[in-house]
Amino acid sequence: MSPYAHAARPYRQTPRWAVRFLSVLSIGGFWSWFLLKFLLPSPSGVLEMMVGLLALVAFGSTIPLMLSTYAFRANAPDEQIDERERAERYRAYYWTLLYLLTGVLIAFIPVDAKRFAPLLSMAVVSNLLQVLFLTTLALPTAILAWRDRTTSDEE
Amino acid sequence: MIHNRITLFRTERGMTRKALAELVDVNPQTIGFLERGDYSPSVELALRLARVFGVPVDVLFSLDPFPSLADQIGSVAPSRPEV
Repeated sequence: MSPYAHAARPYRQTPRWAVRFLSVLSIGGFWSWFLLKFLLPSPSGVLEMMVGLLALVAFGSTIPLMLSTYAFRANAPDEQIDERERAERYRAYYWTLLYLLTGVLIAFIPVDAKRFAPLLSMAVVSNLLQVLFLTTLALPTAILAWRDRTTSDEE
Repeated sequence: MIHNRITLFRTERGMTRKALAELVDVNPQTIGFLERGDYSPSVELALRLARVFGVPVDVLFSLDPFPSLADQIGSVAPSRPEV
């Protein structure tokens, strides 16, 4: 690890509870938006507006999530983090890759399986891919925060 | 699982986790993870830790659990006559 790595770190660690909360809002919000939008009968109305606000909340919570110290660890160059943090990061990206591959596979089933066409239109598939893209950006950070077992005296 | 005596050696020398972390060039949380057995170090990190404490690496780390220090002290201390 670079001798300057300690100096490059943010002065204050983002609280783990905050990052976990933001990750639930972000990833849970995006998936809730997708599922509710899929189930809504029409594209307009008060209910649809509230579902749209859910997406805004999810977007709004993703931004501070990606500015947290856990996001720093998820995206920093190898020289800026130590071996344990690198191992945790590799594990987080491995599970994110599995999640993404599973989601893309599910998204492309209706493209090929004509029997699902009435149920899953291309608009739905497009929404699903958008949600997959956005949640994949946030997932490594979320995994690092949820798997962190640092005790309070070490923070 | 790799067992270690990092906490024992660190506290005997009056070292904080932060001080030890700076000597072996890792973050202080990693020392905590090592001490709890939540993370097994690489060979390089194990050797750096052993060098800091001035002991062979197999004194600091082991594949088998280390015997309890209290039991070891109790077994060599002279027995006192009962009053």
